[in-house]
Amino acid sequence: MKRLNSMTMMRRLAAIMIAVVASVGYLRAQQTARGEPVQSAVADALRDWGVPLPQPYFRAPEDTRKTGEKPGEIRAGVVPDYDALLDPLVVIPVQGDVYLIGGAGANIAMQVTDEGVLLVDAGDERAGDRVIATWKQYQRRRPLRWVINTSADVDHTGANEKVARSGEGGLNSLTESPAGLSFADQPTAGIFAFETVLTRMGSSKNQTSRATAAWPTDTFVTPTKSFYFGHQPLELIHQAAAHSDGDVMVFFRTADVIAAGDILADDRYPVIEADQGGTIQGVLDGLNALVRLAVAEYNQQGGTRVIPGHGRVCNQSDVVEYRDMVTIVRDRVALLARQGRTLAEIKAARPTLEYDGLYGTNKASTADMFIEAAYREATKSSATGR
Amino acid sequence: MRVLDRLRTPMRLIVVAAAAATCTPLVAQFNPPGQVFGDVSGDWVVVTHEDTPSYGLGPELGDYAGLPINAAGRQKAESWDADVLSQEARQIQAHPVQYISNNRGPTRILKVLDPMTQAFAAYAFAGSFGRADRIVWMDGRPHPSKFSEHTWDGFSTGVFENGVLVVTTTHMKQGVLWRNGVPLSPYAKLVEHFARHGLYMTVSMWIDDPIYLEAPEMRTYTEMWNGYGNLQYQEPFKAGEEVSNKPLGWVPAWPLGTKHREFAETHGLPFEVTQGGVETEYPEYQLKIQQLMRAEAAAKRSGAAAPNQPGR
Repeated sequence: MKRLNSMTMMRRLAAIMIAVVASVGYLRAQQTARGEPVQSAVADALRDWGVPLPQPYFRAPEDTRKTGEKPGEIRAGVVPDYDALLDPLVVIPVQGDVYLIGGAGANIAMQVTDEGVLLVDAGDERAGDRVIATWKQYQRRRPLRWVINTSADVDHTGANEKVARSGEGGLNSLTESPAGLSFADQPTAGIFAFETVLTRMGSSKNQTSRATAAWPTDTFVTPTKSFYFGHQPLELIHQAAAHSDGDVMVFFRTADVIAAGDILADDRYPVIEADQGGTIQGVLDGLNALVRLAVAEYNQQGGTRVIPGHGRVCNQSDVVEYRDMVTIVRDRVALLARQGRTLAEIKAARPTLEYDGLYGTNKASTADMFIEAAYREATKSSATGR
Repeated sequence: MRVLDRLRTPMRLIVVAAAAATCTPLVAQFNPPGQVFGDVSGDWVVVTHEDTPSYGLGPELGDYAGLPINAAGRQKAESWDADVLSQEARQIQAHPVQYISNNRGPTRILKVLDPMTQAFAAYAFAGSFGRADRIVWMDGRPHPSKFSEHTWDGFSTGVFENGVLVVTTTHMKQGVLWRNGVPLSPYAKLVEHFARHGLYMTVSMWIDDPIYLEAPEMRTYTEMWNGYGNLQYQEPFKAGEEVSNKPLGWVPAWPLGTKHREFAETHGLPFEVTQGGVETEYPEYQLKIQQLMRAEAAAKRSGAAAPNQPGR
């Protein structure tokens, strides 16, 4: 009887195993047929280790399972909406110890080092908590030390106060009280910017005016400012009269990454804030500086990576395309203006037609706005004899 | 002994179950229902007589016939100046995959296997023309995020559909559809079908880009088995000082409103038929060409301006 029971048990056990294996196999087959990667601890580990490739591959090791899209969901000819606030934020490795944080308003560059974390821009105020959660997720024990502002725009600096307070830069930022300005009790991360950014944030007349805790704690007035952080030199490069009068590009020399701020926003025409000292020529000078600084690997790809203020990660050839577009449109408008065409006639000539599908879909900088800026500069320079 | 005899059947079942446990996930991963695996790995060479004038010397300036370009694409092509390739930062620019997916020369397609499991992870296409290499991921991974970099080869994933390898590519750099300046945007989408027939392989390219095209562009070409091919390490493009007198910021371009008429005039064609558009892709457009040619000849005889001169 005992033997019979054992036999029965063994048969039942075998039947259960076969059923389980068949079910798992069927489910995985369905999963694969749907285009989903097979999920298992072993498969995950292998994907994370990476697969050695027999040839160069000019892509950062992005985990597309977390950040990617299914190919069927990518629509041809559609410029992605880079301004949408995302939850969670998208974090992709760019190069070395530099990451891009997307979905927080303007793009944020994040450098993660043994010395602490450094952010280039803090993003939109509404995404501040998510930015804090992100740097804390990626930090290596040491806290956020610095935030560098590339301009005074609110989509770049709106979360300055909140994000800086989450760090410990060792500097006590200014705080406002009925008694006046004083140093905050707790040290926060330092905020670095070109001096005019501080001026504009501090001006009550300006739309970029901000509470004192959001102001830069350190500023510079020279064309460049060197800065050493996390075992690598950083260059803060001021581009005069570009998208505004306070634009800064941050060059991470060892990682070979440049955070360009709004001098490069490759999803839209340049935003020229003329009331804040911005000019198209300044943007072009900045783009040419980027082309000169960046070095591509062979076949004009890879090499120095450029994180734009808005849009996707670029390298030198993408900057060249954008620079060429700005130059061509600027020159067309200037030529038509010299020929005596009115602004309305120039717009009717469609000088941006071939670029509108790429750069004209963002309301922050339409084709008309760009043509108007180019016309304004062309007529101003001809009036002044320049 | 009798106990062992009685255990024989359950033991067999257990062995079968263990084998199934080991193999089923692998089988499920690479041969899911509806997919028939048809390997394309090996050495191939393109049958070069196809499109040689266009891929060799290149198309003539102003020849957009048969290309489904829209007004934006046409304006971009008309303003394109070949001198732009003399910009220092463009001298080693590769051809984009949407223009030359097969690199028009010997190609070696390797299977990339995971070193631990031998699982089939990707196809690696080694290109002979300036190392125009590609990776086609076969492990079901999604494409990168919208914030990710675009490259000349783009990001490709593949699946087998009834034995045909179907490769979808996105995240390409801004490039050209044709080498006379006809553009493609970085938001184009390329779908290729690699259908192997023994020692030959028919490849079709479907390129969709509403920014510059009225309708998707379709191309085909044939690869031939190149069993004796021995594609060795090829030299990538490296910058040389071919043109060193151009200042930073030099951007050559034809002025707004330029019309390249030389192609039409040289070949005795009405200008309009060289301007492309989806209509020019279809055989019935030949009738319209004849109508336009008759009208143009009649206009010349009467000394009047030819009708249907470019208004676009």
